[in-house]
Amino acid sequence: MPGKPKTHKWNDVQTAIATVAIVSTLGLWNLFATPSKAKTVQASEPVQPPPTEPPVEAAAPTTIPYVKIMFTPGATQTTVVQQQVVQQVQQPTQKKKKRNNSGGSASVTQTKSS
Amino acid sequence: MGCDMLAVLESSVVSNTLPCVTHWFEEWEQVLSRFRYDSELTRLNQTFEHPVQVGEVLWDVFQLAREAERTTNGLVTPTVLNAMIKAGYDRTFDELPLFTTPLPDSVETTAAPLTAIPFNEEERTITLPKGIGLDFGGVAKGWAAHQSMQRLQVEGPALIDAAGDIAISGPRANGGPWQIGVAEPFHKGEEIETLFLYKCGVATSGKDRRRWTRDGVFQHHIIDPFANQPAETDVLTVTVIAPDVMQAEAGAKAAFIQGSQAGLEWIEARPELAALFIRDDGQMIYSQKMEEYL
Repeated sequence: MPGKPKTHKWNDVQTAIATVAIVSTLGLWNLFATPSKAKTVQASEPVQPPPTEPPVEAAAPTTIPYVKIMFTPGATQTTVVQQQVVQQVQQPTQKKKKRNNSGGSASVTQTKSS
Repeated sequence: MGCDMLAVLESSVVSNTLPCVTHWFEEWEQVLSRFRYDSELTRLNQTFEHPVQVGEVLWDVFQLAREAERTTNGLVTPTVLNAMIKAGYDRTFDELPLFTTPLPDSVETTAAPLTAIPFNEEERTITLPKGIGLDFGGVAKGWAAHQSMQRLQVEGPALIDAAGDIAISGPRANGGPWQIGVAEPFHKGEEIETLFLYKCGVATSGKDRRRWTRDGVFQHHIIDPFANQPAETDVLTVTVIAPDVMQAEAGAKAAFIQGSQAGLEWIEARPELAALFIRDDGQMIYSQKMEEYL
């Protein structure tokens, strides 16, 4: 009966190959999964929320039309608001000679770092 | 550009142009943003040692950046992209965590000047040497604000505020000045000073907003090209008024990088510029010309 032992050997080889494949897969999985885990841990570290910037409000007098555009990385998120009213003729604003003006409510807008 | 924009037009009739401002900025962002994988700038930044033909917008901003680099003695240059990425500013600021991980130290100790980048004016091509990337940043923002203001001003007095970089066409409809607040860096939303402005540009540079920590070291987004890392400066914010917003933007950045003392001397040597420095210790320093705007 020469055929039977032959099949037996072939089965052994198949088992050995399958074992090696499984071990290799698990080993590689572990190898590449580790950095991801590290990243996840870093990402989940408690961090302070970034300082939120108050939205720029059109502080201009309501007698002028304005458009407010919100820029975001995605173009589809752009928002436009327009108001159109009759303009009133006013006398030129007198300059206020003072420093450290913390009121600022009459300003059209603010210059700030970005 | 990842920021809020404001457009103001004083007119007694309904403007058809005003709503277009949104589309203009979207078009320009699609060309000039380094955060969009399909922008024209990204395409340029991915091509080394080969001439890349660019559109009119990118070409104009490239030439403007060259001018800004020249007028600021190399302090303002878009070639600091790699240093900015190394500092951790590798995504839009909204997506940037406050604490980021270190990267391998592979950035040159100084940024290459724009004069090192070959270009062909007739064919409108730019050839980036290997290892140099461009980030137009504030230069592009100032350019966009100026362009929009110029297009709007034919219909009436106009103001464009591109996240603090402000272009003003001239007096308001009533002949008076535009009242612009200077943001108080220590108290969000408040104003520390009020400016009364006619035809000009105003811009503020600072480390009070876009900042984070990388490998335990404080970082911000304004790169000193001669150190190729975030500028070490005693200035928290500096606001500059100039004949136009593009000069104001470049001037503010240059003054910020130099620090309050050298920056003030640099401003005073340029009669067209006025500046207000706010230092880390809270001290406010006004250039002589700034008095005209208070």
